[in-house]
Amino acid sequence: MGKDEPVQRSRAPYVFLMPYAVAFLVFFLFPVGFSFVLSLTDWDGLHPLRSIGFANYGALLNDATFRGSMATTAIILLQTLPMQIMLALVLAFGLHMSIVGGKDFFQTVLFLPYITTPVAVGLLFQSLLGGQFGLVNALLLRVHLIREPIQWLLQPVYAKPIISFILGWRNLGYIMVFLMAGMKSIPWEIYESARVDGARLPTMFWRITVPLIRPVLSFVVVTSVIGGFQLFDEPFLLYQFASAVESAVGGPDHAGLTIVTYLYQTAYRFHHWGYAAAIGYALAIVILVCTFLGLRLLTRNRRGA
Amino acid sequence: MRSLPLRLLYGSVFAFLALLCLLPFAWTAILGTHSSNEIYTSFTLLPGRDTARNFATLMVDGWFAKAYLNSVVVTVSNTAFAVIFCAMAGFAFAKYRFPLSRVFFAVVLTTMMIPVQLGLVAFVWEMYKLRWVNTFLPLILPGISNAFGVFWMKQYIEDGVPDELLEAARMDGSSALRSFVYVVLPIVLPASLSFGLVNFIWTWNGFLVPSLIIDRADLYTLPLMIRNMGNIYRQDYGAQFLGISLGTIPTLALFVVMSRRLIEGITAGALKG
Repeated sequence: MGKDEPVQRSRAPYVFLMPYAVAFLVFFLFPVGFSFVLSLTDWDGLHPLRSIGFANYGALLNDATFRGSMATTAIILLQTLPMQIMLALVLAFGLHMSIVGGKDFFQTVLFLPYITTPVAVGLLFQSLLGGQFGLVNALLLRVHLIREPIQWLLQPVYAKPIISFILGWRNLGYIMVFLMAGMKSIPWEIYESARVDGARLPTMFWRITVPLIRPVLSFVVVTSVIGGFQLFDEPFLLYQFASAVESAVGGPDHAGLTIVTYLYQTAYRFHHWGYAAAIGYALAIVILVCTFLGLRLLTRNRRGA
Repeated sequence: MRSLPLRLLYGSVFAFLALLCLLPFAWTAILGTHSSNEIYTSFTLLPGRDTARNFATLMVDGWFAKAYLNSVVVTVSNTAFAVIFCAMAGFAFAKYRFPLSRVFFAVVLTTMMIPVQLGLVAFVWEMYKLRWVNTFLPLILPGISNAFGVFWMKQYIEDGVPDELLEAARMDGSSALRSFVYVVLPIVLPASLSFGLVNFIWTWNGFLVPSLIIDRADLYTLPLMIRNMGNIYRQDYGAQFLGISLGTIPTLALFVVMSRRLIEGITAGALKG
């Protein structure tokens, strides 16, 4: 029986779909659609909705903090993703080609940060980097690399590198595991015949693995960009106690303020829900454009190679 | 061709990264065994003797235990609903052709690419209107509309459940629902388990939506509790670190026991697409 022929004709598929469809309408389609409506209001969580046209979007364009949060998020991604994906690719290659043993062990251990509660990760790094009793300062002091504890979380310079490090630390194993799964689908015969032709490992890596894994690579890049732009839990927790005053939201001088952190603060702390909805739509547009550009870049590279 | 220097290089890089991944957890666990005083005054990587006291501090007012229980309730019910209803939707897409089925499925796939923040504000508005703020419903029910789950289940049911089997069941007078329960579900149980695990970890770790919906301490889920431990157990860092450790144990334990299945789950669903 072919796939395109009806297996059974009945009301059954609608019954099976019903719960999902209802949940989809209530928890996805309506919120996404109505958020746009709310983005055209100045809803503050209390008063009835009042339309203000596209004023929120106009304000967004002139909002230095919003532009800053965009730049911060983009810088963090640029600092993290290329290196992270390259490293994950090299590591995955090593495990896949059995250059190093302990495949299951390393796969599991490097994956741990990814499944750890992000809130805990944020708090964890807050304490690791703490000025008074943080592990990082303690170690650096012990090996005499520094003389006085560094105030990691109080100085704007460190904000983006720290968040980039956390993002890299958290997702490296995840990306590696994905790339390994992709490598499994490359037939061994290709490597074998390359070996017979005298190809060495680096040649195999660049000529066989990287080109053949490109679809998975695109997937990883796209999901990493989408996930990266939604960065929130870790930087929020990292700086939550440092941001007791309004001006310090997202760390010193807003240096660690990601887009979603700004959205959250706008909605939840300052009750500008309408404005927050506009930030959400701006974020979606940015993600869409970046995804598109990312895919374009990857496919163009393929044609060039 | 696998030269010794290369092996050594790889080995040391992996060892270093493994250390980097384990050290923060080990450090948190160790600090959880010390008193606040020790944490402040001395630096150590050896376990202390205050675990019981820190644990008592966490338990004394019941907040932490309550948050744990809340997280279990929310996560287990969210996952149960997600698995059952996504399997049902996946079954409909995999084994039935109905008007617009392809269009609907394309819509499902598209929603996987849309960030949750897009609908966040109206979602909160809706929960206010439904008077569901400070209930678990907004944390449990949205699990049903998991596009990833539907996609996943559809793939497995399409590949794993032979049409002949369904046809035979139908000939024997089995209703569609009966066939689903007795024919489809047993076959896709392994896939359900993988998806359920992924969903469990996502839900357990969830923070953004719960933080917007819940503001009563007796309804906190664990991530909300962890976030607010600084206020509740002020100055008692030993207890806070023990709390972080205890909070991450369920996902870590699940992962270590079932890492192979989970990794397969996370990658297989996506790579098939």
